[in-house]
This record gives sequence, structure tokens and C-alpha cells, in this order.
Amino acid sequence: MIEIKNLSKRFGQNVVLDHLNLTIQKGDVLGVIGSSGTGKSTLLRCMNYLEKPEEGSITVGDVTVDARHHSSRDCIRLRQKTAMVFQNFGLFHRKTALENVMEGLVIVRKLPKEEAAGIAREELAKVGLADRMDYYPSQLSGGQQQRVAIARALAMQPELLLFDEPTSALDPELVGEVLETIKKAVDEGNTMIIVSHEMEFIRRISNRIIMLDGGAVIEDGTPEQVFNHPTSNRAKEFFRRMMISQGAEYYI
Amino acid sequence: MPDLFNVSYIKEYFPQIMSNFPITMEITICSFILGVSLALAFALIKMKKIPVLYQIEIFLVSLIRGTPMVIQLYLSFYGIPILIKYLNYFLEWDFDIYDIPAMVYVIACFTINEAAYNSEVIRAAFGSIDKSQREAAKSLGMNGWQVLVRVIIPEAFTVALPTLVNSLISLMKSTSLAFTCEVIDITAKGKILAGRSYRYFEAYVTLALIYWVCTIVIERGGHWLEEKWKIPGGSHT
Repeated sequence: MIEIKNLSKRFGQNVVLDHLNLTIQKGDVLGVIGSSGTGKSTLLRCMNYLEKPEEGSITVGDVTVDARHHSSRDCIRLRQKTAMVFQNFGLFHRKTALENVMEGLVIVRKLPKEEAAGIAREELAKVGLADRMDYYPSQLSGGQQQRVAIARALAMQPELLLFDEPTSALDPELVGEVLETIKKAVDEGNTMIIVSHEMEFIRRISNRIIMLDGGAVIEDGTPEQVFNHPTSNRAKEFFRRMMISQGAEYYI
Repeated sequence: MPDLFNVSYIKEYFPQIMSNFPITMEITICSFILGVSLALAFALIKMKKIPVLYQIEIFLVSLIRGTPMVIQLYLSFYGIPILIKYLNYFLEWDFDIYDIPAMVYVIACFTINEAAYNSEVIRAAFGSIDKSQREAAKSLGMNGWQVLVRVIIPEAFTVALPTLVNSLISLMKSTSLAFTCEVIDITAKGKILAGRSYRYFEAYVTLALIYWVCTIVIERGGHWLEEKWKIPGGSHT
């Protein structure tokens, strides 16, 4: 189980997360939506302490990290429980696709190289890159790079997967292949949090949606509830604007 | 024709000068390796702004940049023994300064010099690494040391390589000042030989050729490494 208690984060005077509470069950696929600057990405980045919150605690499985008194060992243990997929991929330039996926297995999980390579090959094959294993990131398209990044995250067998706008940096025609890959990860029963602007996609694959505004949760429910029957005015306005900008008939 | 320039002296001097070549190499290689390691430490100190060490580093870098190499060698040669004598006095050590070979002063001086100049280069290279690789490494659960060794240092050294090669070349040539600390490198050896026969010009021509060839070898080596470390597929994205 994943539990976020009283999480607060500010950048200078700007309060990004305001005493946020959230509990996620195993196997949940949580979609996070909201306008820009409402703390969606910050929430994800706090979940693995890439951003240090000022207050609150985060529990993933048997690891609890409290913002007020945490050690760097705690942070590392938390990060080992989670895996993140970044907007701009974050692949290691100097390593091939295969080495990218192996890196965490060998260095963090201390697996022998052969075993790590085996797992990495399997994961890359699952994301459809069996024929691109020895390519460097610069030789791959954006969509392929992001699929390598997803394979790298999945290979670590995290208790929680974090997707931080995984398709925002991609050319439109490459979005589909990445969403397809994420869908597969969902079908395998991974617990995950997805921040995305692909509303239709997030609605289809999530079993729970939260909407953030001003660093707090203003909507929380099934996709059906949140998208069709939002309770707050803020959310209603958000969807109205989405409709205007994208049209109601927006499918991926 | 007057016998003003005689190539046969060059042929005669070359093997004799080369017998001291290992000394020049020893100073160059030791100072470079130690200097770059220290520069790495300096860069980390500067980036993390570690108190006390940071101030000491700023002072050292400013001092090194602000004084000529020869003076630094003299300071090292005369200063370190004085420092040790004081330490002997205050800490009641019994350290014999006459046991220290002159080479130590030379290498110490060149090391600090290299570190001072290269720390900025390395710091800039660190700064050029995009945040996403570092964050990706962290999010995999690597500790600070692993992130540094696995991701940042390989990436930074590729960026810094051309500048480090330049600095190695200038270090190799600066070792010609080692004679000020009574170390007989190739330049000192050339001077000694020339002093015997008064064939100064021939000795210096020989030295010039040796330094020149060394420089070309280092340059080639640098290019080779650059090619080797280049990521297939070209540009960074």
C-alpha cells in the first residue's frame, strides 16, 4: 500500500503541494490531471524524493520517509521501491538500450551481469525493441527512447511506477506506441501513478482519477465520476476548456 | 664555412638527453594524474560549497593563477621544508627533510598547479551534463557515489577531454622548469651538456625537437580517445 500524508512542498513563496493526503491500493492505476502548475509533476517528483518536500510522509510498502527527519539512505530505499519514467526520457547517452536497462539491475540490485542482461532483453522485447538493443539513445526515435525508459523502469520491478507526462515531449505520431506500452504495463497489474495530458487515454486505463488544484486534491473518484460528474466548479471549468480546445471527439 | 651550427652535436646530444627523459615523463604523468584527481575534488568542493575547504580552495586557485610557475616552484622547494620544520617543532615530529627527494617538491607544485587550472574545466563539464540523466540515475535508486561514478564522471570527462589534453601538453612543457628544484630533467640535462661543449644552440634544438614530438604524440592520443569515446549516432539530444 502506498500512503501520502500531509505532503507539502513550496518553491520560495509558491505553495505547490498543500498538505496533500492520498492512499493508493496495490494494483491501482491512478491518473493525475489538472491545469499546469497545480503540482502534478511535483507530486510525482516528491514520491521518489527528486524533490524534497518540506513536510509530510510517504510510505511505499515497508519504507516510510518523513520529510522532517529523513536520511539519504531512506531516500535511496524509497527510490528503489519506485521507478520513474520522465518526460524527456532520461536515458544514459553513453549506454546502449540494453545497457540502459541493465544499469539499475547491476548497480542497484547487484544482479550478475548475465542475469541482468537476460532480464533486460526480456523487458526490451516486451516493449517491442528486441531488434534495437544495441542502439544508442541518439540512434532511436523519441518513441523508442521512451519505450526503453519504460523497459528500464519495469525491469526494476518497482512497487510503484511513476509516469511524469511520458508523451509530452513526443511527436504526435509517436505518442501511440508509448501509450500502447504503458497500457501493457497496466495489464500486467503494475501499481502506477500517471500524470498526462492525454485525457482520453488516462480515462481509459485508470481505475481512479484525481484532479489537483492549488496543491490539493479537488476531485477523487472513478474516471466516470470525475470526467462526467465533477463536483467542484474548478473541475467543471477545466473540462469545459478541454472540450473547447480539443473537441469532444478526441480519441487516440 | 664557419662551424656555427653542427648537426652532429644534435646526434650526439639526443641519446644523452633522452637518458633523462624518464624524469620528465615521471613529473608529467604523476602531476597530471594527481592534478586531475585533485581538480575533481576541487570541483566537487566548489559545487557543494563545503565550508572551510571551499575557502582554502578559492585561496589556492587565486594564488596559483596569480603567480608565475617558476616562483611557485621556488615556493614549493623552499617552503615545504620550512613547513615541515615547523611541524617537527610544534608537533614534536622527527621528520628528516633531507630524506625528501627534490622530485617531491616538483610534483607537488605541478600537481597543485594542474588542479587549480583544471578544477574550473571539470566544474564546467559537470555543469554541462543535463539534469535528466542524473535524475534518472537517482530514481533508479543509485547512491550519490554511484551516480557520480557511473553517470556524471564518464559524461564530464568526455566534455572536458579536449581541454585536459591541452593542459597535459602545457604541463609537459612546463616541466622544463624543474631544474629550479635541482631535478635533472631533459632541459637541465641539455644545459649541462651544452655547458661542457658550449654548443648551446644544438642542445636547445635537440630539446625543442623532443618537446615538439611529445606534443604531437599527446595530441594524437587525445584525438584517438575522443574518437573512441564518441557516442555512435552522433549528436546529443
